[in-house]
Amino acid sequence: MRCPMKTNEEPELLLDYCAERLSPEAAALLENHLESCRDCRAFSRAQQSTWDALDLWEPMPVPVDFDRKLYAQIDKYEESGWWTRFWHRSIWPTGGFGPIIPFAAAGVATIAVAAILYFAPLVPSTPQVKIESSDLEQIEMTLDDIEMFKQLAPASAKS
Amino acid sequence: MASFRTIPLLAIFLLVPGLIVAQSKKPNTLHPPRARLNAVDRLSRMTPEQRQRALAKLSPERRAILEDRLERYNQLPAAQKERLRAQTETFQSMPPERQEAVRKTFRQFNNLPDDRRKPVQQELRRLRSMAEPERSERMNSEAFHNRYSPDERQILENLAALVPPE
Amino acid sequence: MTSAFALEQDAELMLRVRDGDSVSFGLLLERHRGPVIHFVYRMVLNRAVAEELAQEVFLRVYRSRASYEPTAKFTTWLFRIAAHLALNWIRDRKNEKNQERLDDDSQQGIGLQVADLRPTVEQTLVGNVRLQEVRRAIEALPSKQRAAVVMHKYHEMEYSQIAKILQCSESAVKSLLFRAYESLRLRLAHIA
Repeated sequence: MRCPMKTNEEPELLLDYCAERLSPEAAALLENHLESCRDCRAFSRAQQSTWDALDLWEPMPVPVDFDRKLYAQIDKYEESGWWTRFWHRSIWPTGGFGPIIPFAAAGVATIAVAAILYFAPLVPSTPQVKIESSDLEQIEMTLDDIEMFKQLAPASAKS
Repeated sequence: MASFRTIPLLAIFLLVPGLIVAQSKKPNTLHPPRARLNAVDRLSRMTPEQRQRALAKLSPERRAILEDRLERYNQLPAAQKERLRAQTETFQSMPPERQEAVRKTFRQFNNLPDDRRKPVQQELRRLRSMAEPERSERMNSEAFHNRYSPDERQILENLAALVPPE
Repeated sequence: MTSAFALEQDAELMLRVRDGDSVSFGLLLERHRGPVIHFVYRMVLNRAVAEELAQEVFLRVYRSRASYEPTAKFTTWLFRIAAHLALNWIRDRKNEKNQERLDDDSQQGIGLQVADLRPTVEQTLVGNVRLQEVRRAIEALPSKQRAAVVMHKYHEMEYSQIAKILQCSESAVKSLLFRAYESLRLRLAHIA
């Protein structure tokens, strides 16, 4: 095996070795090399100690009310106007805009403003929390059905 | 990705005026099962004030029952919730008369005396976890006939056969 | 970090979220909430900020569900959002004039973590010092190197996945990691 330190070929082999990510064959090959190479041995020891030291840092506990806060934000987002939702969707989640987005947004904004001005008296001002009576009946029926299946679930499916 | 993103934009472009007009004339139709389940989820995530407004049209009794059901649904682990949603969705996609038959049998089951409901429920869970031949064999056994009354056997037979499998 | 089956399952769940299934979103949240919070925390070293940024990650996932296409592994996409937010926060923070200490909750955090193991007072003190050294060594890394180390060490990601998340080549990731571990070896030599 060629020395990964001296040849600078696949130097990550030593990192992978300390991270225990090498196949048994590759690890055995490297261990053979370590026996005869002082530089690689020193590197590997230092890296192993560093790797172990990093294990000291345990992750922070997950906040107990994380989900509740998140769903509150989602609800707020859902209750925001369609323009806010459209704007957020136009931004890539990883940052930046899609190339066509600014042009499309400008076009849509023009049309939307015109449509809103034109149809203003027809735009319903009902908040999103309003649910029709017929919808409520369907929700009640669905909850009843869920309850029924909950009671009928086989023992193995209870948790 | 960008080309996909233009599709919703075009849709908004074409549909905004139509949607605005259509919104005020929404007919009272039966929603698809998935939409009903999502409505349940939306309701369950509302703040108490929002929920109060959303349920304002219900009588206090109906509202109390619905809120109790929602609360219990909310407390379920996500995996169980998903399973129940899937079953409910399958069930609500069945013909309405079949759904009604199951609900009726379930009401009969709920009306059994307290000391009989539990063994019948346990038996039903056992039957539902069995494959068809095994289930038939058990239901035809003498022990089964001795343990349950004709009404109870009828309930077990209907529910085990009609309710969609896990 | 996750099996091929799990990754397929994630993409499947996200497609269901795209179709309006909120329970699938809950399942994705349950699966990835911990890793995302841990990653962001190790990047920004502040619990409150980590929580806020992790919330923003999932909010962005939710907001962009309609345009989701499973072109990459779900975790790659998720961590790309998380890395983008964390790196931006670090950049903005750096630009602030009167910067508070980043590790404002370090004492509390270390206390909690070590106390859980119920060591002796002496062990606790030694543990605290060593842990502080580790935190400082990681904090001293340039932000991109820090991101690469956190994903490599704590999330057991492959070079290729880290490269996709940081949007650079695999060789650039290897180089980042080499330089990062070199700094860490030097800084941590006395405690290792």
